Amino acid sequence: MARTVGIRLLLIVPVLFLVSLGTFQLITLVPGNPEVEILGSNASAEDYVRVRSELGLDKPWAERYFSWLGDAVRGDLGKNVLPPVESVKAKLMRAFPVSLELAGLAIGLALLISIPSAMVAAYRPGGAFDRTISSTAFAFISVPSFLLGILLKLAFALNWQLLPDSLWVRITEGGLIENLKHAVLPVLSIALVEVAVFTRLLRNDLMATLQDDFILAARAKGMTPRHIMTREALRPSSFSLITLAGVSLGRLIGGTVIVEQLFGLPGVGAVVVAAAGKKDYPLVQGGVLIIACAYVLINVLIDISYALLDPRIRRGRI
Amino acid sequence: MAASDTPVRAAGMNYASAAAFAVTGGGKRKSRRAKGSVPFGLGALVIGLVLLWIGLVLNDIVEGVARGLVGVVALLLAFRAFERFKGQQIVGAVILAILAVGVAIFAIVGPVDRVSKLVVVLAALTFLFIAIDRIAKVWRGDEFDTGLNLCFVWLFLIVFGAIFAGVLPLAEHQDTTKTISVPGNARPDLFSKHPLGTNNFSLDLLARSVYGARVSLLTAAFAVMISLIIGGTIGMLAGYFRGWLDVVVGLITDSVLAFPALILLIAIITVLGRPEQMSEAIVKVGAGLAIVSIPTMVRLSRANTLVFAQREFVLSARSMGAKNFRIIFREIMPNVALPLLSYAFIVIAVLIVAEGSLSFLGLGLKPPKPTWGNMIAEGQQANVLKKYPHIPMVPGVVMFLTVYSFNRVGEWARSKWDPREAKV
Repeated sequence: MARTVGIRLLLIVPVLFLVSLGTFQLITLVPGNPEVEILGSNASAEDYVRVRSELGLDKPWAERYFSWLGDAVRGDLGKNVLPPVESVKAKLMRAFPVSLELAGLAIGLALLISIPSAMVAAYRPGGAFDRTISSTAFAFISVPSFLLGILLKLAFALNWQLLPDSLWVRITEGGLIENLKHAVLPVLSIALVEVAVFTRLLRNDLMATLQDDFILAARAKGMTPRHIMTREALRPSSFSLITLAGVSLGRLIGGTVIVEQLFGLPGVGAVVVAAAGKKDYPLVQGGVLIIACAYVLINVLIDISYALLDPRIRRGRI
Repeated sequence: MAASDTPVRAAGMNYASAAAFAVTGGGKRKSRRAKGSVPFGLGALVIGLVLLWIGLVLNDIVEGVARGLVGVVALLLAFRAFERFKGQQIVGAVILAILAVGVAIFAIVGPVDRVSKLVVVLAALTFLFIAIDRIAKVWRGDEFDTGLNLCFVWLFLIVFGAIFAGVLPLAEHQDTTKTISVPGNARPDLFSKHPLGTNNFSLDLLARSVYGARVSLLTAAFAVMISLIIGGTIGMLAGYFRGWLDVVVGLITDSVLAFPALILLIAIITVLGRPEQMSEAIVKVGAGLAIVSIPTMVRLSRANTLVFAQREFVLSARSMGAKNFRIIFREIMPNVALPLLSYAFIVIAVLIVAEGSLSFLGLGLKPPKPTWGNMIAEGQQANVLKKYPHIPMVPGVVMFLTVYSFNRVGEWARSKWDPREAKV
């Protein structure tokens, strides 16, 4: 067990190294001179020199990379170039909780909806409920999240005026109720697509499990369908769902950009997109690095928890 | 757990299976798929056409018809609830009954007038689908999958439109100087010059959707081709030679996959610069999408290669003196290509959404040149969305249908060509 975890942890070092290298390389790929791209063509000569040295472009490549990496490891991601100038870290620290809350709520809601519906669907494959759920899920997989977001906004915020249509209220500013109210529509527009994916996955896994001998034994002993579904079949069927939910959580931390943009939420994705539009490279680099690292770490956590959940893996090797 | 030490085996398989057979009733459930039938199909066709006519032309009675249709749905639900009640399925019956009452209340006092046209047209489309389904099944047998074939038809239409957009009789799609005399924000009206309406700059939404298809489809197709060729080759090499090459390739794909796709795409486009011309957009966004999708292709092709490299025909080729190059490209590639290609449809669907997301965020092709993403973005402000919901909805529906069709066709292709479902 400890060995498995240790190997898994060791493996992320080269991945993180390559990730940081890739992120750093971004700026050297900018065609032409980055400082001209940032400031435009009619800034003063001193400004060009200032930005150039802020970006560290006046030093050799390897020295720049290692000093950047060293700073990044210590938590210093530099300052952004365009006003209002502040440290990249402070900007991202403000944005990160928003993205995390969005992603967490969305995954939670998706699991809450998809687990019961997958169980009902898998109990009678080919029945009316199963067909409805399966075809709805298939359709939802094909709906881009921005389209779904616009539809929800149109229906709930603009037509029926049940919920606020956008912008974020932090828990520290407006309390939990206001915060959740403003989170409903964004979370729904992320969650519904995930519900579709989760339901399909769990339904198929459950159907495979229901063919197993121990389910047959439970049925023969006269267990109720509810007992069979919740107590016997769910746990062995849930491994791929747990993996997928974890991966989705990691993906959503950066991947909620669209919804953040649509509803005006100050998450990490929105910060990166705004910086990308203004060519504020240090901010883009910092944001991308943080998102990628969070994703890698969450994936490792899933792998480890997988070993904890599944006794077969715990005893053997991955 | 090995099959031999399960509790059922220990308890005596025959007894258990016999008991289970008694409990579950045994046997497969009767298939509920509709059968082909000409009179039924013709009836549905007539009802569908009448409803379509009412929904699109007869504005006076459309609300009444819509309320009636919702009422019929309520009655159907109530009937199902009654059936369940007789069958002792109390929980299901109660849920259905509550639903039926809710729908009935909606039909009588709900704000049906807001959505009456939508209700009638949707009902009409449902009946038309049933009509096509029933009649096509008479022709082609009961196994005919109408939904899948309609997806093929839609893909054909959209590809045809994208290729021949220049010669089709479409209104202006991007030059705002030519549309000064055209009313802006016109609502969709199928019998006018602008069947799907116009946007804020009086540009025709149908024309823009068709030209937008050019960008979306070409970008996605370009990206998939590149990722198939590069990713497929790298994956085959890694899966065939194994060793250090496999380790390095695995590390690099893991690292690229560590970036969420959209964020990576945004970063790439930031660096490459926002495209202004269509060809530029296809190359730049396409290159970005290719980079994002190559790792997936590498994994797929590697997983498939691993399987085929163990097979006898590879061994026999090698023992006849074939070199590695020949084995990879003449023996393994033909086998790996099919599952990869069938997966490509689903990747195209994902990439169309990714391209749309990028344009939606304002990092794709610059408006007024149309892409589906930037067309949807035009309608995202609250005031536009509330007053003219058709502006984002028209490209949105076109995009949804296209992505849905690619997904559906992809599923079909995978079940046909990739029964083994290689682990990615």
